Amino acid sequence: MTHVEPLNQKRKINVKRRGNALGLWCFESLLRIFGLKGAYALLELVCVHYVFFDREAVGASLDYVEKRFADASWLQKYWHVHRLFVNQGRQLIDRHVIARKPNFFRYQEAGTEETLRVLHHSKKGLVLLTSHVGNWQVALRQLGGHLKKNICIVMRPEDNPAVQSSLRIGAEAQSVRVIDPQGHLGGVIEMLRALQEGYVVCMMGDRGYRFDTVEVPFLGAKACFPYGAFLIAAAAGCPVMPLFTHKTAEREYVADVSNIWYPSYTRGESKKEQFRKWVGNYVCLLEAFIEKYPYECFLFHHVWVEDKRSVA
Amino acid sequence: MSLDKETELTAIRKKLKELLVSNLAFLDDLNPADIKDDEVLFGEGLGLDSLDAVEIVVVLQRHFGLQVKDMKEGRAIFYSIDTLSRYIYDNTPRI
Repeated sequence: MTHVEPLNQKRKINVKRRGNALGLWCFESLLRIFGLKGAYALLELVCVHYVFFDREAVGASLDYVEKRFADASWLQKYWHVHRLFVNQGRQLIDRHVIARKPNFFRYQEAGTEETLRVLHHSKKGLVLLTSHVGNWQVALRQLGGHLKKNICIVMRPEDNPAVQSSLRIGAEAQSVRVIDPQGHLGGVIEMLRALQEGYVVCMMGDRGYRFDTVEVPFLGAKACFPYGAFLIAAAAGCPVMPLFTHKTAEREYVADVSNIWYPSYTRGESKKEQFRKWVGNYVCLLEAFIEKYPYECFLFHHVWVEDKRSVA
Repeated sequence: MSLDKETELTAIRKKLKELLVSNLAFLDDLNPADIKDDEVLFGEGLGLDSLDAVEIVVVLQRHFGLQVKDMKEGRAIFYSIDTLSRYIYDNTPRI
């Protein structure tokens, strides 16, 4: 479980690593003996520990909980925090399983045949806009194969080794490139080049990296979301496809990639307003997902904080 | 430096400044002539950020037919209007 610094602060992300070798060994043992149910049961207890003793993690998640469950009592809010921790933990366990058994979970794509067909025949790249919701890593492996495109992930190389490992196992035909957003000029030139070379460039729509943000309404308050993904897509002439993955059953995931946008500037209209419109469309989808699946949102950074450079 | 080269560089600088102002969202209130040739583009100076670099790359591609492929090379090229102009001059074929 990780906690990141506020979205809109332009400084290095501090990641507090939780868990240790003994803990991981316990989870692995339970997985081997009792399967997912065993590991999930231990997780319930571990998350109670985090709720009581990890103030940093609780504090980080309370921002979201207070917006999403505005009417909840003090005790209920802590219950919601616990459910969030459990769900995030389950997704980490699932990713661990997938790294060893790539086909363990059933995977479906909802309402996406036409979108995927169009993209499959396009030589252009694609910005795959992920969020801190659901288990997008599960979908990414499958989606790259369906699109028959190489994948490029924008993330700090050490940020989440499980993702890279998970993507590589069983996917020999794919090559997964990592672009470091802390590199020169935030790695944007590499992102642009990857798109022009036909890669699927996967980046978080709700993480600032070091990109500027626009203010849009989110869960009843103004929040800052980055517009970098749209700007880069517009520059490369590529579409943006938001990805929302939901766990429907213990061994089943559904990925929704039914929305696709082709950001292109309209002459005579302010670019700033166009960014706001594009980001607003994405945030509407994000909000709709969170309304349906509140415990699958792991937005543990302060998107509601004012940003001096955000578009007023 | 020959007079022709200097004249051409001046024209490139002028064109670049105009293109940057018209393409970069956060520079649209600026007069192109107010941008100094040697002003640092990113961070301090003009205050551009990584996303503005995307627009500059696109300007180089669309208006000058140039692609910056080497990231290390990019660091030096994107330093100022002057370094960008010299890159364009050095990489544009002449009749």
